[in-house]
Amino acid sequence: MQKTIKVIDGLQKEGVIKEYAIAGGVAAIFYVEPILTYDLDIFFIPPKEEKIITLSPIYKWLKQNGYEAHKEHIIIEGVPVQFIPVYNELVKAAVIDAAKISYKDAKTKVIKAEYLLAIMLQTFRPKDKERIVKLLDEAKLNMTRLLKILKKHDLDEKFKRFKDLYYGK
Amino acid sequence: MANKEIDRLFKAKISFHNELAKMSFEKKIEILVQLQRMANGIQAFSTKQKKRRQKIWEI
Repeated sequence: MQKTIKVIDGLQKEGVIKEYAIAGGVAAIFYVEPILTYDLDIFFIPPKEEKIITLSPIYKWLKQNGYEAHKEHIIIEGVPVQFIPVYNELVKAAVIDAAKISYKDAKTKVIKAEYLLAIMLQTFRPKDKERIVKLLDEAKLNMTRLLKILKKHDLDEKFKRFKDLYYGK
Repeated sequence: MANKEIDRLFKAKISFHNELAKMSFEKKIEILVQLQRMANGIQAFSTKQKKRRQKIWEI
């Protein structure tokens, strides 16, 4: 996966994307025990703020470098990668404030656990609910940071209801 | 007595998951690829799931 990370980092170095961070299941794996996922989700901030965000520059750059699209993914060094532009203020803040990590000899960034939980609380699919419980049980969460993020993005009440439901009042 | 034993078992279970969560990211990714192989292997036996088989990471 370090080759995949280096290619994605190259997209940022060459200005095709402004910022990026690992998100989704792989980001969750950074904080909790391994869970099944098949793709590497990358949240990114485009170089220019435009109303309509297109993935064309990313696909073009990757194609020039020998990587092919397969449905909604691009296979980069054996890993299906999905590029997702930041779609709201919470996701944008999560990318800007992402944690710098290393994977073998590759440097990259991963969405912080507190932001990850907030994003999952916002998307709230069944698998998000499952992952929220895992984050609460297994990740070392900074509760001050988490509550600040939840309050800022109007998710504090939803979090309270979730905790009451799963952990009791 | 039985409750104490069950409590101990549940605490050990939680501790086991927490230990797995503390593993290095590199090790976790290795396990993820093993999980992908196992899941695809199971799906290979299910006619309904055959079309849903996913790409295993080649890393």
